Amino acid sequence: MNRVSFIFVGLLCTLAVSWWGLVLVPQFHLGSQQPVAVPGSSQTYPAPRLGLATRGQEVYRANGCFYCHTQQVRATGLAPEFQTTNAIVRYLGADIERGWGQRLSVARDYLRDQPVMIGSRRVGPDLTNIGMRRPNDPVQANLLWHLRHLYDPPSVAEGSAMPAHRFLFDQRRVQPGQSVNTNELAWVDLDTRLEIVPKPEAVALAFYLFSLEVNVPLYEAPLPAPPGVTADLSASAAPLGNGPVP
Amino acid sequence: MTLVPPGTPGSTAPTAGSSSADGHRRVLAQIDVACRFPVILLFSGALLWLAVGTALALVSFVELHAGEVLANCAWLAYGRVRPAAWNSVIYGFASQAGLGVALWIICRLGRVSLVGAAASGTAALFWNLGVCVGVIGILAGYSTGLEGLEMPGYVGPILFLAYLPIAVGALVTFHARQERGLYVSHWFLLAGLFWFPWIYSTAHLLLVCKPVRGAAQIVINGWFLNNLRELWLTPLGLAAVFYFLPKLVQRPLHSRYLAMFTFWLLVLSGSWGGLSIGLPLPRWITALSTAASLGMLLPVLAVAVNCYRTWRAGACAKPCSPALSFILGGTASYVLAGFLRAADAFAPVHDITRLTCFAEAYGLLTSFGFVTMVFAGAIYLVLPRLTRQGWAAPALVKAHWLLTIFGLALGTLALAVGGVLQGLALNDPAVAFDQVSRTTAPFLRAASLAVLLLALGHVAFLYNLSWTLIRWLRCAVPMRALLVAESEPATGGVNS
Amino acid sequence: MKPDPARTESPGPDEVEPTVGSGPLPAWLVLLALVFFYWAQVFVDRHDGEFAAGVYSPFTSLRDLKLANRELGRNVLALGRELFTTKGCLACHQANGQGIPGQFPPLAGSEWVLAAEPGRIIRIALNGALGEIQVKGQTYNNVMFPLRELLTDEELAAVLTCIRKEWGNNAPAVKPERVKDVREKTKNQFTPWNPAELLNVPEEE
Repeated sequence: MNRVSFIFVGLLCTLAVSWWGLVLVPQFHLGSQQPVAVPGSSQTYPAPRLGLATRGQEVYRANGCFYCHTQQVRATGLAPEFQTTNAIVRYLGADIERGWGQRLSVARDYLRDQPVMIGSRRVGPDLTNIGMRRPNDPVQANLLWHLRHLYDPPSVAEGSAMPAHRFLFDQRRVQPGQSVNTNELAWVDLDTRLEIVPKPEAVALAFYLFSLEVNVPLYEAPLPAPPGVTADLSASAAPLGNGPVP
Repeated sequence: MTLVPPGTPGSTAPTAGSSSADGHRRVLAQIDVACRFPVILLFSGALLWLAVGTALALVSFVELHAGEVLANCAWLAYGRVRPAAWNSVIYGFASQAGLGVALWIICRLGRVSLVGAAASGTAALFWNLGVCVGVIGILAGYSTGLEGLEMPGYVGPILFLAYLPIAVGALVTFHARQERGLYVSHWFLLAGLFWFPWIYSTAHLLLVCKPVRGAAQIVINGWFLNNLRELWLTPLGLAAVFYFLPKLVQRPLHSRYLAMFTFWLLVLSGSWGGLSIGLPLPRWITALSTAASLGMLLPVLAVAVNCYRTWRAGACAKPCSPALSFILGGTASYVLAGFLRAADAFAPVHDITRLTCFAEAYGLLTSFGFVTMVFAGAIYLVLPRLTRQGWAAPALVKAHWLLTIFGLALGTLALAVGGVLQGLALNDPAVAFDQVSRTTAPFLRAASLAVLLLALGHVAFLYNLSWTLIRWLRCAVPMRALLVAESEPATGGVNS
Repeated sequence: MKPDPARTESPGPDEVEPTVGSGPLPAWLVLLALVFFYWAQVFVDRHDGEFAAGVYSPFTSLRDLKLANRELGRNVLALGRELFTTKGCLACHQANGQGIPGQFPPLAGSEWVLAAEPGRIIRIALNGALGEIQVKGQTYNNVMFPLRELLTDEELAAVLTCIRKEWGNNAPAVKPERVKDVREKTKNQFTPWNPAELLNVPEEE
């Protein structure tokens, strides 16, 4: 270890090997992935986000939402009978049981994200499928929920520790005689009697959050069948897969 | 009469008062004076960013449990303050302090004056400019959204160009060394100086400039973050530990073989670790990375054994200098953080601690424990050599140490225990999420208190440095003298 | 008391640069390293998913993934067809389900296959058949190989469902639980069924 050339060569080789293994090969495996056809429909997945949701993703990035919220659902296991009796695949894991997703998250789910913000801390709940957590509410109610949550989290999510993001909203005095519903996505704060109107960034962010759902079956992450279905013969059989689509 | 060259095992010092001792002292003083400009600039910038970063970290921790406080201020939203704090501490403080210490160690070990000190000093100014622009950019909402690389894209080239003169100066100085033998610290410094530009440019190109598609970003981001910590900050810190610990206890470092073991295993496992099980990646990636993360335990153990044996063999039964307390505290933090990190990679533990604040426990211990304490100890030792004056407020040094130790102990314990409890609650689907938040809240409050203690310690450090430097500059050391050292002959081996 | 190196303002007369000793590498550390490298190899081998790009935890291999993708309800017919081919049914009963006259009975239009309850054909499938059997007015006297040890409940259910739905047949699907039930009931049957005896077993059983 007294020769600089020996150390230098050793460092170079180690760096090159690690660069090959963790930069180059994953780029081959993952960087060239393409959207795939959704079985039984004419759509591809993941579909590009609409304009407002894309801008919402930029707001998500600028405000660092991913420091508290993750977008990765994990399945810790497969149901025990899967290995031995070819039963229908069923995922185990707290994320699945909490209803945060029907299947594990895989690389293809992040194809349209720039940058990929999967988060590394769960100060708040996982957001992978937040867009479908309130399936019984109409669209406007869903968006309003997200906006009210951003403005004052404990008002819609009891016990929430999320800091309020009131800088994303304007507060206007309600003019006498003015109809308070001039903007569909505004509401009146009952305590202060002010009309809370979201800024364009807040609306974009709400649209982005509402667009988050990934419960589409993929070869590498099939959706489990609903409980009780075994030899159900609806429609014609789908062709047997030959491997993951590259 | 020749000077006793350092690095000779068992060399005895010349008796005080002899002319060779004076010559020896003069040579070292000349070396110290020659690297004044860049090193003092780097240290000053570092401490400024340490104070700023710890203050921002305090704000972020407070916001986690007192969310109403800054609701109207976009610039202080949690999602902006947290990355600003992290970038300030890592790029602003740790990188600069590490570079300053690296330059000084290379000069001293090689018994040669720093080459290109003016260029390095100017580069240090640009580094600070880059970090400043970056942190303001993050707070203004222009973060890139990539963990560890949040500073806006245009900052990358600034940092890279500021890095080059400093690294090149260090390498040229190293090449011109009078003492040809390599000491342990040299290996680590070479590793760090070589590694940083490669990982930073790769990450910047593939994630910021021409981003790769999809989940490949997750892999490269995780690779970069792990390499930044294990192969940029850790080698700089370990180089400082292996230099200052033997120097302060006045004994040789215990084992060369342990140091080699540390070096190669650090390089191997540090370059592969960092991606944990549970990430939405093909499982071979996380399998390899987990094995490497667990392998990090080996160099950590080797460092522990080496440093412990060295310290026990030392002359003082208890630390007799504040610098030594900091170095020892930093080493202990490194070892403890290494254990916690390896535990977190271990699957049964990871299933509980995944995505909780447990990771912040060893993150705190690494950045505010290992890196900060080791470089603080180094700065406390080096600065008097450069200014030829003592510290202005020696009492604040002790206060800094106490505040740091208490802050680290409280913070690590709170975040580790809180993380485990949070993980247990998250893994139980019957526990509603607001209950999970309530479980974690008291631990986050304790962690905020811990960061407050750390912040006070760092402010004391900055105050001490500022007062010392102002006093030194006012003591009529004309600006000219800062650069006079450039024209003195770079020497070793002065005969008298 | 030696001068405090941190407090002196200039390098002391005895300030030397640090040196490194030649203490030994502890044996336990070397042993730990070797144990670690062995463990790492085993760990990666078990968890690498054959280094395939599509294998995500908790799936362990491409085979797992293939199994998972063929087991959704709507794939049962395809599974049944594949097994019909690969497990040798096709060799005797033919691809058109007509069998070979005089040798192997047909499945298309067979009253055994189309029975409302599948108890008898499950028994034949599990234990095989040996002896005279009347199918669609013709008599056949041949042997059928037992499939008890060759197919799981799900696979048997899939094949039987397939023959009950192909070639113009349309009888209710066979559920794996039914097959499991019959398998349990006939666990002490070690010889092939004589079709005449089988007629004494009610088909609901």
